[in-house]
Amino acid sequence: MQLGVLENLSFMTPEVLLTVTQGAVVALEVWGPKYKKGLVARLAATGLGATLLMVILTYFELEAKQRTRVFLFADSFVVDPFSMFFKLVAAVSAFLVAMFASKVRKIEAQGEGEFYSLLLVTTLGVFLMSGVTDLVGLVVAIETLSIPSYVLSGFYKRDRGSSEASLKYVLFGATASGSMVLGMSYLYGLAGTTSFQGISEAMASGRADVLSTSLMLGLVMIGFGFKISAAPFHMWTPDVYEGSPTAVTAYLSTASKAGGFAVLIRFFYSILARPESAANPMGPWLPVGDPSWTSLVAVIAVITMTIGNLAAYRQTNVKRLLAYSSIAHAGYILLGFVTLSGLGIMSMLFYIAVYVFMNLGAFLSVIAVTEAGGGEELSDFRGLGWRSPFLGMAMAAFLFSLTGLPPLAGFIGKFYLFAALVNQGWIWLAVIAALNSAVSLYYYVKVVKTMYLEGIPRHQGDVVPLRIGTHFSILLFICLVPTIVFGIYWQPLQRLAEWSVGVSAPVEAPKATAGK
Amino acid sequence: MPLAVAANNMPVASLEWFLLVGAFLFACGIFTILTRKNAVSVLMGVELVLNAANVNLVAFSRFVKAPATLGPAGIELPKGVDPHLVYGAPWIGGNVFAAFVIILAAAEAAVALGIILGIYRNLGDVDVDQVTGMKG
Repeated sequence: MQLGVLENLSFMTPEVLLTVTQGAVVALEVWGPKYKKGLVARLAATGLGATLLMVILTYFELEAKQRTRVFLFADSFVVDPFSMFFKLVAAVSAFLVAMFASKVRKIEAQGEGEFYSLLLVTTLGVFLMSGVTDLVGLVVAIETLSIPSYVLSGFYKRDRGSSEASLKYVLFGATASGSMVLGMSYLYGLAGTTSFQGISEAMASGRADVLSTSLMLGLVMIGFGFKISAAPFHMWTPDVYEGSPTAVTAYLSTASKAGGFAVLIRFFYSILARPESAANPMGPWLPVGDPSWTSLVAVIAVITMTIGNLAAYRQTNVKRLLAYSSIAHAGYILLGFVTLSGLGIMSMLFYIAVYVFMNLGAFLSVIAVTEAGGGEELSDFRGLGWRSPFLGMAMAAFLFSLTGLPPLAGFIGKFYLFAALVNQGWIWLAVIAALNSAVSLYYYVKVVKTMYLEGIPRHQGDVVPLRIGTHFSILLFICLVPTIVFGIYWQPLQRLAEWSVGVSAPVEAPKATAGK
Repeated sequence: MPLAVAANNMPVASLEWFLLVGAFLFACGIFTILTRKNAVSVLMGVELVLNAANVNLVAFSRFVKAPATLGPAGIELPKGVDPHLVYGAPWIGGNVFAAFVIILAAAEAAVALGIILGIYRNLGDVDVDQVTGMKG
């Protein structure tokens, strides 16, 4: 039985809410009062907060009814805990970024309406990416995220760095999505259908030889690799992250990247893998067709983290340093993808959730410093620990968590990833990842050293305080709490991630599930 | 790849010919992207790549049959029944996909041209080799 359009939409309340808010933001900008300082920002933040609430409610509803998944719109979209997990992550990230951006003077001067309506559309894109089970929907969802992102990265129109970032982003992005669509056209030719399930059946039938399969998947991987900035498609990342407005960078490195991982996991684990036993999705998964793609992804993961960590060494701009760090983190998260097991996906989800808080916190600290009259260069951070004790402490916690030091959340995330690797026998990969982690300590500590050991005031009266204001302090605190708490008491997040894995299994036959 | 001959003695191109055109367009597009310095030319290369995918999609839509078990969601076809015949031939998934790709290409081009205009205003040039403010 097919659901009607309205019934379909009743499962998509978060998406509907986002769309309505976006319309309201545009309407307020166009027809609202001339003088409306901060009004648009408040409207957008309220809408995102309500969306976040709605996602949590839908999550509970799914859990209460023990419904693992609902297929919508002729099986092209699925609402399941896996997609809800990513919606949660994206909504949290977008909400925090919107709250932060509301106090950034330059964004206010450029036009808040444009900024927040684009931010809301990108969030809608991530929401759609988390649930698509069809190639057409996948392309539309990815472009819903990408196209507004290109504009957002060039949001400071008069700023050379910002325009340069957006030019590089749009040219790389358009090429990557073009190649991805070409790969998908071959997949469609193989299967005769655009649904993931049909493609999975075609893969299992062995109709395609190894060469053509790797050609198709390689082309598709260009698009996904671009989104998560995995090597060798990471070239755009440092420039775009450095040039974009910092609020946009924070968003690109968290929500946008999470969306990329959502489609990556959904696509590959729907088409090329299935759980060994349907009752235990946490166990190992079996590859469909040729299994060699895991080794290829393993190589990509190693190159990605090594390039990210080595290039971060010589950076003097904190944003650029964090950009390379985020490349390295894409490599770490890919480790869970390689293992071909439920434990691997669980550790990826766990790490993505934790990574959003610590990475967002680090970028938001940079915004706070810039807005308080500092800058983005490492030298602007000299003596920060003394000039603004809370900010210094928070930034140090975020950086240590990104390194993966206990007792912070990043350590638990890395621990799960490495455990999943060892569990599936990828010892050499775990060793390389651990070495990379150790190497990364150097450049994170370099920032902390600059904050605390350089520019130490000689006398009590010499301290020039850097006031970041209550607004930024509260938001930094919101990022700081999960970074610390999930390092000590992580079981709730782990259970949530584990429950979300249970249903990222391949799409069942439509006849068995649709409309139930 | 010989050309098949239809009933009225006109040669009919087979799927391979269309795929060759698609692959050729893709190669041209990538070559344009890699060698051109002007940002607008690079954008034209991107359009070629997207249209290569469109040629493939439309050709596959014409030549490839959908899996026999796959009707519209929730309805199982009896074994051996060709969905092309039940739901109206041809199976139009590829054509729909191509239509979406055309719309997305238009949106992308609009945004990219706007960004290139912005670059021109700030730098007075649209040469991608000159846009190197950030390095390292």
